[in-house]
Amino acid sequence: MKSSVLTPSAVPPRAAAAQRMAEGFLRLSARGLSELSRRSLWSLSGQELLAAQAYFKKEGRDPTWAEMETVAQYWSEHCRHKTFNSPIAYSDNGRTRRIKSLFAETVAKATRDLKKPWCLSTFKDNAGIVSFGKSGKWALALKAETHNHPCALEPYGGAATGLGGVVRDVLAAGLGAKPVLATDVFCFGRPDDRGPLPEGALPPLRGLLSAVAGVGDYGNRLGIPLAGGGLWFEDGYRLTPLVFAGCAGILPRWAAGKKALPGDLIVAAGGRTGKDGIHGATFSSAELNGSAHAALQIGHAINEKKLLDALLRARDEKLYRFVTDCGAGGFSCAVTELAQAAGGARVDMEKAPLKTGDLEPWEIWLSESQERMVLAVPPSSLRALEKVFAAASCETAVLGEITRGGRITVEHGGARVADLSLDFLENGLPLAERKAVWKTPKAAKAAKPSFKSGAGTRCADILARALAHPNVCSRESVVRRYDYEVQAGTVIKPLQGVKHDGPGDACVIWPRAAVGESEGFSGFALAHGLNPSYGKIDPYWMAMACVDEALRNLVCVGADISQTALLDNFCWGSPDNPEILGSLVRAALGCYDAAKGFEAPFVSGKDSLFNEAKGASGKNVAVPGTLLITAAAPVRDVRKSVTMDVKAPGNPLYLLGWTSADLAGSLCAEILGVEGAGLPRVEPAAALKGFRAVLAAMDKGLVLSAHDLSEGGLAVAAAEMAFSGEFGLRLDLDAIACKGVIYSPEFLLFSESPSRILLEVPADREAEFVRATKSAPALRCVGRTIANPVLKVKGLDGLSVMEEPISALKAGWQKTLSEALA
Amino acid sequence: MKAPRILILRAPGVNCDVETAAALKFVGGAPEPATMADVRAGRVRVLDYAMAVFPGGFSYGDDLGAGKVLAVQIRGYLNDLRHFVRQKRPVLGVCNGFQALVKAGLLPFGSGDPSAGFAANDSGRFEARWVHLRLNTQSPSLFFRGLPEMIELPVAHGEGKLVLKSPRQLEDLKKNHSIAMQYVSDDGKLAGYPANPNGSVFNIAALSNPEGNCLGLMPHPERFTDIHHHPNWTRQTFFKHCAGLEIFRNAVDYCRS
Amino acid sequence: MSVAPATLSSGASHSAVSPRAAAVPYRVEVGLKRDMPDPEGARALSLLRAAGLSAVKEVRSAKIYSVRGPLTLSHVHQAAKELLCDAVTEEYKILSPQAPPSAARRTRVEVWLRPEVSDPAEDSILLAFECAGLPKPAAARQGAVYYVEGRVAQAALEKAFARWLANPLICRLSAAPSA
Repeated sequence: MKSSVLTPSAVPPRAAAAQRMAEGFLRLSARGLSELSRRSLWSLSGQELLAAQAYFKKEGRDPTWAEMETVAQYWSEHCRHKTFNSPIAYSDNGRTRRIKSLFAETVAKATRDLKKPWCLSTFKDNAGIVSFGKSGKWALALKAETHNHPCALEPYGGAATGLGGVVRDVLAAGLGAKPVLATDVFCFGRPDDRGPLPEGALPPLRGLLSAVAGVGDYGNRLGIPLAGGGLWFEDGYRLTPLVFAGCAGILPRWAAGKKALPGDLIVAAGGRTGKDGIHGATFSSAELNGSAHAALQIGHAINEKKLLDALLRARDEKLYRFVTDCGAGGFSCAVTELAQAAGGARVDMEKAPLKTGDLEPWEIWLSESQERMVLAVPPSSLRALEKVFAAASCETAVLGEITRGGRITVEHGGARVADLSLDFLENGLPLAERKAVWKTPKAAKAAKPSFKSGAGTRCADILARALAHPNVCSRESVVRRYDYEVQAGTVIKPLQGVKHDGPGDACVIWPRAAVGESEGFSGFALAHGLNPSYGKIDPYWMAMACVDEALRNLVCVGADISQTALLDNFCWGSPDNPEILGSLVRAALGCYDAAKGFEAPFVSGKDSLFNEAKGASGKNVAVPGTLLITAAAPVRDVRKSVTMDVKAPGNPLYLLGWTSADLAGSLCAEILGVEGAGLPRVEPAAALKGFRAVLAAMDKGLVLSAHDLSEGGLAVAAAEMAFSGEFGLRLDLDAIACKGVIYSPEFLLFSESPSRILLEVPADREAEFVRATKSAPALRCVGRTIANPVLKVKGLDGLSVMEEPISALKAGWQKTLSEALA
Repeated sequence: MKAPRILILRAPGVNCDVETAAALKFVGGAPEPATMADVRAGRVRVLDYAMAVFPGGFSYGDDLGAGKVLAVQIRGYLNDLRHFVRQKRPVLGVCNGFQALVKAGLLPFGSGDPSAGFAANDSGRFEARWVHLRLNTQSPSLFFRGLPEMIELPVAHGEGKLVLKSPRQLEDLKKNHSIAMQYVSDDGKLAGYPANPNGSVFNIAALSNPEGNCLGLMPHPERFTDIHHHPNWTRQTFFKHCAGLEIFRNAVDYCRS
Repeated sequence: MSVAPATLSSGASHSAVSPRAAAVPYRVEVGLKRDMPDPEGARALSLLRAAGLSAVKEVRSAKIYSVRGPLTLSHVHQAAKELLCDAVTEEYKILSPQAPPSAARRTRVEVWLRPEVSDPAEDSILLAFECAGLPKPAAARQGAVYYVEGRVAQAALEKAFARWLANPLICRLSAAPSA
């Protein structure tokens, strides 16, 4: 009889249950190992397979299936972020240098350099933790995640379980945080795209509708306000959509740390384990090839809600010492993580509650069934813990205990399933040097404006098209499908203005009910920055622009940006391609400089690579390198928050920040079909000065409304402020603070120069405002609010550039998405 | 004076219990959360409380229709509730809690036979938005004392369309002043979508029993207990009345008297 | 576990007294009363039209339940009336094991989660039976039914459904002519 190793099948034979793998693994050649890995969906490299083989040679035996699966899961890109931790030979325009670890030398280094005392836990836990509020009693846990691969295949379930996963990450931050805000960001192909698709691919609109429904159905049931997020449409995502979910939670400061001790019981809590979700972790590191459907689930929100209720109750009664969630890799990753933190673990898979009885031991160990968590419970607390969970109708089971042996031992009713050295799992992963290449494209270099004024398109037409553009238009038809006010803490809502439909820059959460305190007005704001169009030209400046955008959104609502915590989410194609990896390196370097420049540390992050799919031509198409920056900052007094809708006629309008002829990657360049030159370049020091001055004025009540300038520049921001507040605006282009001489009204109206905010100042306190903002570079009065409901722009020559009724501007802005999603 | 004990009934999927309890606390109540499992096991007796509240959420996922499984449990395990209502003690059902009370036959008439039902919003979508509401000035509801005729509150639901068994029912409801709130436009007129966010018959947003001590409403009063909850608190132009908080205050004051 | 057959089950006869063989599920269809507007049907209609099926005139939607366990037909009637159906807005029918032969202009499309995908509604269905004092089923699932009015080729309809309304990776769908 041939051994199963020599004729490997994608799934281990049933007879292999709890048993040694058939003999032969130790003798396999490199090619044989690779073949086995490919067929078993392990996604392990040749070098990694040889390291595993060497380990088992030392152990003097063949591995079991479960052991190899554990290694594959634990060493997966998803779990270990190999690309960010491996050495890279990085060639920047021909000059090569060696990066030892991209993570350590960029995002993590910024955090280390900045040494902010309010950062309580960064990168090491399931979410980042920062201090919150005046009393010193509370902390805030922050996390953002992607769920791209499942969403490409099954957007409803993928988006729902993606949200479920990030919520559990926050529940597993320290000893557990109560989720008080959820966010989602979707990148899809354009909603009107009806182009031909490869077999099995879903039309972008279908994907979007399903993802929105999935997040809504799951998040609304959980009772977590979904009050922040974004949408980005472009062709680069039509086969490979990106789906991000984020969560913020409140926890008592004493619960920010965790430590399991030998003798603690390992307890599984939540949903039962089933056949669903085998191979999620390794699957998410493999390019989409239509296989591994078993990873698809649709989620069970009520199970997660029960888990949430029970866990927080048990936390407050201090009934456990450690908690982590079962995400990718299921028990295999969660229990191993717990064992790593505590020194060892022994578990019996026969004890795990199952959905159906037909699971092999290795399947129980690896299943990624949703809504499960693992706790370390002192034996003396077990009874009380079981009672708390039973009261919430949430199931628990003791799987085993924490040991001292430095090993993870998995049994199934007495039979050994796996027995591995933790040191091998943690330190045995060989990291191969990768190659990365970056060459600056022409468009990224600062250049004289290449774009001729008077090219035939009127500014008013550009504005109309900008407002109707899918990346600018109203998101109301999506936002209202989410319960953004549950928990009664959303004091600055995603929709603002007279008719509650204007586009807010950031939400502000006042977690009064969640912390159970009636006194105090401490809150926090959360915002995003995303612009893959810039990334196509230069990911470094995209990263800078994303951090800048997130911060200026926070400034617009009045958040204290001196305590901004950042989250990074990198979504790129295959890092095996040196150019793709080069662009990723470039973005990470931008993150470092931005974090340092803005004095805003990263506290957590995640990367999702291999976002590629086979296009119509049969060639792999990678997504545009996409960086999502999520930023959160405290709002010291929520009663001083500011919204973006203009409040009254006759008030002066001030524009913060320099305007330059930055049109590369801009919406205006896309609309006009020109390339544009000069990518917006952020100068963090100057930007911070301006932001701080504006915040000082806000604190004194000197700002009535504020809106950030992003896609579509000044014209779009002014139009949105006007139609949300239902008053007109008059702008004078001659008053704008420019870098260099700009003659074209298109540049002045549609430039996307960074770090700019348009402010409405009470007319009777203008002098006070000017005094309060003296330190701001480039803050000029550029117009006034007017009673006449029009947007009026006076050009450099004193003549009118446009005069558009705000009702028409609003109608165009509202139409695109509401029609597409009707 | 001792704070009245208020029973907050929870079930898996109920998710507005924390802010509802917080609102009751602000106005001097002593909210005590308990689960339907506690009730079933006899650990909690509704008659020990001055008031009972069924908060919003998605009880049991609304898998068999909004509030349905909870309604079956209310019928099965909470027989005392009918007695509780007859004793004129306040009962409040918000959103999912309202749906459960209607499906359990406690509203609008308390006959035990469901005379109203809920269907998916006409839009076919879950929707969160603030609505204008007109209170029935002739309503006997103890929850409405001192409130102006027009108020604003947020709704957030997917199955909020109230449907009556027959047109005669509507006449009965009118006669008994049981229609406690109606969705209206900002100038107080009965209007269609989006003023009426779900297509409810006769724009009904809330129902009261004829005695006025049992109220069910789709809008969320617990989400308007502070002026900063209003979507336009940064503007000066709206009517500054925290209608939600007043509804809870009326109930707690009633319990005390 | 397989309680969600894509085609009508056959064999067992209905009996009001003795529980059916435990392996054969009861199937209950719950739809809106005829005079009720059907937003889910309208949504399906607009998606099918957008997918190019211009001959589709109307779509009515319904929910379908499959329940297996120690239940008699009268149990199932009681459950359908009191648990699965809204007394005011909905009505139900218990599907007969024999598929009615018909060649009407109406196509009935049934959508179920694949048996290997956990159905989040199962727990609530089982609990509801228990709360109502009925025997607890061994298994239950919830699916969706669409009645599509208009002359459309079955293959085209299935393809449009797979693209816009049900993902074949996690769902099974079957279309058949219906009365």
